[in-house]
Amino acid sequence: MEDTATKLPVTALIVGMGGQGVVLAGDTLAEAAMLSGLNVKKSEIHGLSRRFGSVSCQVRFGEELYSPLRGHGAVNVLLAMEGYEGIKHLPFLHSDGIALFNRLWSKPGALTPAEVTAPAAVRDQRIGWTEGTVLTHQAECPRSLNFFMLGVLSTRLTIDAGAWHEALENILSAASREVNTEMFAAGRRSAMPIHVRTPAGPFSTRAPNRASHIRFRLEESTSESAPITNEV
Amino acid sequence: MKSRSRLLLSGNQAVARGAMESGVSIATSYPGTPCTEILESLSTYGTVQAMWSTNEKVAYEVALGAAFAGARSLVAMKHVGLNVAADPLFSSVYTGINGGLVVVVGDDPSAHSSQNEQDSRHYARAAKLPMLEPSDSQEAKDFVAHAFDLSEQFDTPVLLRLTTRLCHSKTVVEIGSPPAEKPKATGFVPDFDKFVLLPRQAILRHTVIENRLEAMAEYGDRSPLNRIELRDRELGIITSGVPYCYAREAFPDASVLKLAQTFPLPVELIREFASKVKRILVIEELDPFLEEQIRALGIEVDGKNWLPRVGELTPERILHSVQKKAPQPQEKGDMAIAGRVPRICAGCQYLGVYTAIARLGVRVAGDIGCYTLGALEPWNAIDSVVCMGASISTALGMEKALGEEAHGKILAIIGDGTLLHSGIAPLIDLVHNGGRCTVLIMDNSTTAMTGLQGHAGNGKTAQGETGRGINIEKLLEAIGLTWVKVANPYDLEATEALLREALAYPGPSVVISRAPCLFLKPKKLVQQAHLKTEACTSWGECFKDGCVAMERQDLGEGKIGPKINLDLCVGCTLCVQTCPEDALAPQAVTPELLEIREWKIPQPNSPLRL
Repeated sequence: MEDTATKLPVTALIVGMGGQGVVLAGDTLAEAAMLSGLNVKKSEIHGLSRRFGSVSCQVRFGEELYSPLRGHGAVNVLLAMEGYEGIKHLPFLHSDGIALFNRLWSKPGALTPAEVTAPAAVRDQRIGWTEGTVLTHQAECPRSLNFFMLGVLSTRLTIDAGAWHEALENILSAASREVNTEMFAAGRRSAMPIHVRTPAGPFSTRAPNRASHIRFRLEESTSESAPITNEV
Repeated sequence: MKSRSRLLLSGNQAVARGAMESGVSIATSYPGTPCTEILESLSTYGTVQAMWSTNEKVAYEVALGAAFAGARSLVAMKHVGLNVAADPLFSSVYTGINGGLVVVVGDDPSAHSSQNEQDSRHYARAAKLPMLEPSDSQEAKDFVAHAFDLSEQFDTPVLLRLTTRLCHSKTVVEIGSPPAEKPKATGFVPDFDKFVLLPRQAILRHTVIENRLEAMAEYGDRSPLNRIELRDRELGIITSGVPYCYAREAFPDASVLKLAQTFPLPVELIREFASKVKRILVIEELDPFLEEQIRALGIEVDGKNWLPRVGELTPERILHSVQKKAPQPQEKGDMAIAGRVPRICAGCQYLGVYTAIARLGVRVAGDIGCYTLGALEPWNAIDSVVCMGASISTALGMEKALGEEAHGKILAIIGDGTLLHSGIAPLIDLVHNGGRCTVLIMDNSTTAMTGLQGHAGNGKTAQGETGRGINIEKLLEAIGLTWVKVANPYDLEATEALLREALAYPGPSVVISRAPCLFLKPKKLVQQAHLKTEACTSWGECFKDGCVAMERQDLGEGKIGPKINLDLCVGCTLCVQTCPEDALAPQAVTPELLEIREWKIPQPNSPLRL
C-alpha cells in the first residue's frame, strides 16, 4: 500500500465509541493528507451517537478520488479504538487491507444480560493489536487514546512526519496540544519495529508541570512496550 | 490560524463560507442534523446577522422579510424542518423576492439522525422553485453564490438541497475573499400585485411562476453547472449531488450527465445526452425523482428497477445492485455484534425522571430531543414519537378518543426547546378543548441534542449573548393552565409523588422537571457513588436508572455485580436512591481525584473561524 499511496487513493476507516475522539482523529488524518498535497475526502457519522453510541469516519486520500465514502470490501486501513466496533466493521476491510485494533473490549448493550461473544472474526490475520488503553492509562491521559492510535496508524501510511506535525498544530486547541502530540509520538514509537532510547528526563530543563510529567512517564513505558501483535 | 486559500471544509462550513462571500446579510435557522453547523459557522462572521429562530417556519419568514427589504438572506434547516416551513415556502415562490433568498435543506438518507427518510427534492417540484444540488464542499460553496445570482435574476427563492453525506463530509475548498464592505439592504419597494397575495393577485402570480419555470429550464440547458462528460458511450449515467461521486468511482469509464440544477430539468441537455449514449442509468438516492421525469420525456432509462430506494448509496452498493440487477440492502457492519445504543449521560436529569415514569404505568406520548432516549432500554418509557411538538397534541387526541377511562393514564413529555418550537399551540389546544392529561416539561435550559444552541427559553443568541429568557411558568399561566408545579429530578421519590399528584388532578396539569444540561453547567464534583460490594446480591433488579457509569463486573461463581466507573460518575446519587439493598452510598471525592477529573473534562471545540 505504501508504494501506491500517491497513485491509487487510500481509504482509511476509523471506528470507536462516542467520546473516544474518532472524529478528531479523522480530522487530523485528513488535514495531514491535505498538507501532503493530496486530494482528501472525509466523511463521518455521529448524529445520534453522542454518548457511547458507535462512531465511524472514513478518510480517503490520493491523487484522483471522487466518493467520500466506500462500502464493503473497499477499505485499505481499519483503525479501531475498541474491539467490538473493530470486528463489526471488518466487512468493510479489503482482503489485502490491514486492521489496527486497540485492545479494549466494551460490550455493546451492557444494560441487557445477553452476552455478546466475540465471533471467530477476532482471529482474522489482518488484525494487529496494540495496547493503547493500557499505555494511555499508564501515562495518565486515557482521553488521548485517539491520538495514540493515530500515531500507530501513521507508521503504516506514506504521510511524512512534517505533515503530521503541522496537522496536529492546526487541529489541536492550545489546551490539549502538548499532551496529544506526545501521545501521537508515543503511538508512533510503539508501532515502530525498533526500540526508542529513553533520553535524559526533561525535569532538569523544564518546570515540573503535568505535561512534562507525562512525557517522562511515556518514555519509560514505551521503551519497553510490545510492538503490534497478532495475538488475540 | 494562518490564513490559507485551501481548506478542508465540511459541506456545512462551505455553504456558510459561500454565503458570507456572496454578501449575505441575514441568516436564520433552527438546529437540526445534518445542517446545524451552517448557522453556527455563519454566526462567526462579522458581516452576517445570524439568528437561531424559534422554528423553521419563523426562520423562513424572517429570511423572506429580509429578502423583501432587499438584503441577501439565507435560511437553513433539516428535511423535516422544511415540512414546518412549507407554508411560507409555497407562497414565497408566488411573491418572489427583492434581495436574493437561498433556502438550504439537508436530507438524511439512511435516517442517521432523523424520524423519517423523506426526499425533499419533491418540494422543488411541488412548490415550483429552482433547485441546485452540489456534489462536494467546493461545489457547495460555489453553488451558494450561483443560487443568489439565480434568485435575483429570476425573482424567486432557490432551494439548495444537501444530504448528510455532503453536510458532514470534508473536502478541499479553494476559498475566495469576503465582501469588501458590510452588505446592506437595498430597501423595500412596494409592489401590491407581487407582495400582497390576495386571491386575484395569486392567480396572476401563478402565471408568472409557470413562465419562470420554462425560462429556468432553458437556462439549465446552457448553464455551465450542468455538464456532459463524454467517455465510453456504451453506458451513460445521469446523476446529481453526492451520487455523482459514487457513480464516478463505480463506473470510471462511463459517460456522465452531471446535473446541478435538478429542477426544473434542462430538458434539451438531457435529450442531447440520450442521443449520444447507448443506454442510460439514472443514479440517485431515495426516490426516482430524476428517473420519472426523464422517462416522461420518452427516454428509456434504468434506475430504481436495480438500485435501492431505501438508504444511502455507496459505490459498492451501486455496483452490487447493477450486477445482480436487484437492489442491495443497506450495508451494515457484522450483525453478529450487537448495535451500540446511544445512552443518556451519567448524571442527566432524565435518568431520574424516566425511572419515576417507568413506575407510573401510564401511556407516554414522546417528543424530539435527548429525552427521546427514554424510549429505549431499560425504561421503555415512551409509547410514541412522531415529530417536533406532537407529544401534547397526540396525547390530547388519545385522551379524547379513549374518554373517561383514560384520565390519569396519559402523559405527554416535551423538552423546553421543543415546547417553544411547536408545543405552545398544542398547549393552547389542550386548555381550549378541555383536555385533562398531564404534560411533563423537561427543562434543561438548552437545545441539548444538537449541541447546546441557545433558544428563546434561555435567551442565548447565536453569538452567545444572553438576553431575556422566557418565563415558562408565566407563559403557562397566560395560556390558562392553573396546576403547574416544578420538580427536582434528582429527588426520585418527590418527582414520582408529584407526577402521581398531577395525573390524579381532574384538569390539565403540568410538571416542569428543571435542571440545566450537565454540558451547559458542569457541576462541581463533590461526591461519587461508592459501592459496598458485599451487600449487593441482586444485580439488575434495582438497576432501572440505566446509568452509563454503572458497569457490570464478574464476581465469580456465576455472580454479577455492579462496578462504578469513576471516570464517568458525577455523583447525582440516583443509583443510591434506586438500590433496594442499601448497597450504594455517596462518598466525598478526594482533592487528588478532583484534580484528575478536572484534567479529564473535555474542552469544547472552538467553532471554526476562517
